[in-house]
Amino acid sequence: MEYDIGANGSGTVCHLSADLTFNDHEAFRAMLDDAVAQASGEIVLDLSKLEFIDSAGMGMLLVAQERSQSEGWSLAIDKPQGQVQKMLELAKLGQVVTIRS
Amino acid sequence: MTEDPQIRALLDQWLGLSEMQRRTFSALVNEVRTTSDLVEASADTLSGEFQKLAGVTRSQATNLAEVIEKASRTEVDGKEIAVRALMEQMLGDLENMVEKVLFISKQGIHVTNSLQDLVGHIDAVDDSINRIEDFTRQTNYLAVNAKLEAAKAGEAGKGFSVVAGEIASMSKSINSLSEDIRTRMSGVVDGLDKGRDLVRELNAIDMSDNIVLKEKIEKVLHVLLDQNDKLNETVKGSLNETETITKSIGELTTTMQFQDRTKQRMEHIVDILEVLAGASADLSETTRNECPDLKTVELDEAWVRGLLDRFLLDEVKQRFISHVLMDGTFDDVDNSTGRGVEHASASDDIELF
Repeated sequence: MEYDIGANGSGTVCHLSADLTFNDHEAFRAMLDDAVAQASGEIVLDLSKLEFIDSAGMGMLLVAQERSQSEGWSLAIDKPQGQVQKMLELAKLGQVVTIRS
Repeated sequence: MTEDPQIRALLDQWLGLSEMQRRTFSALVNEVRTTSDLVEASADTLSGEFQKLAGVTRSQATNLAEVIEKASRTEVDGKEIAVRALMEQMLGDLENMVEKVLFISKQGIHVTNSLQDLVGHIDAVDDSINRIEDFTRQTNYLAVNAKLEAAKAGEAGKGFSVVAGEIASMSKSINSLSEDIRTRMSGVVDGLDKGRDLVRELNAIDMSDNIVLKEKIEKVLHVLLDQNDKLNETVKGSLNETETITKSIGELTTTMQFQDRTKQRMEHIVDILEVLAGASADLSETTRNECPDLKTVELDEAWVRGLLDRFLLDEVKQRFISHVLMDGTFDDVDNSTGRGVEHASASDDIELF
């Protein structure tokens, strides 16, 4: 997984690309720590460039959602595409995280 | 009674016509009875066939109801369950399976993060041990120096020398304890590394296929559910149609009772025709009694031919000839079939005379 952190009008945006699998968990956690440190509103995970996600990657998204609840910040997922979008739909992730197409 | 040749001729003619009327009435009575019997036999046959048909359709309706029942239920582990409920249960199980996959994945990440945090803590403990070892080393140097200084002080430094010795001893003990902690922590780190490897192996198993499998099975189950629903609708439609047919047959059977009314009406006609035939015969007899010397009745052949030309069914015509021309003595005509040939040719009539 590759990422960079930026900002938009409403909060902090993490742009993820390539794959999100178990091997990326340390990088994902570090990214989230950085984002939380910079956050001034909601944290958005922009998945428009993410090409593949496995079950561990889904676990990371769920952990991020739990963390947002316990730490009191809001999380949203933007523009999932292809296989990633399909996995989010099958897992019904939209029931616990805001997903914007 | 009368000698007037014109009146006698008229009376002869009247007697001839009267005889023809009697025979015609008799022929009509026979024809009406034949028709009545034919209608009765046909109605009975039709009614019987309709009853059979009603029985078959009722049986078909029962079979269809059984098909609906069997198609909508199945048996799993000895328990009967509705097919739709079974499939919905399977869909629910699939949802549950995906939820568990996600839960396991999430907990795996939690465990991985916790182990990562633990490794950080162990590194901190290692640093603390290093610092303790530094302190004990410095303490030991101090104790050695203190002992040297105490020796220089001679008798006055003896007590201080004992204290310095104890400090050096304590320093060694602390150092030994630190080494023991380091050794034990090394074991913890080894165990932790093995645990991390195991968790890494577990988390590296991609369970995405299980999630995608859910989609495939869901599609199959929805197709099967749709097919099951369509089959039920089709069979129910057939059942409704069968019930409609059964009802219609029942109504037809009821309608077949027209035969009773028809027979009664025909009996009335027969009765009247017999009365008319009787009246005609009585009048002929009265005339003969009054005028015994009148000629023997001769049939008016032209009149009969004119009458026969009106018949369209050969069978009916033959029966009429039997009654009218042979006064019922010609028995070769089958009264039972009721089948006739339309537009019989005139030549047939002549041969029968």
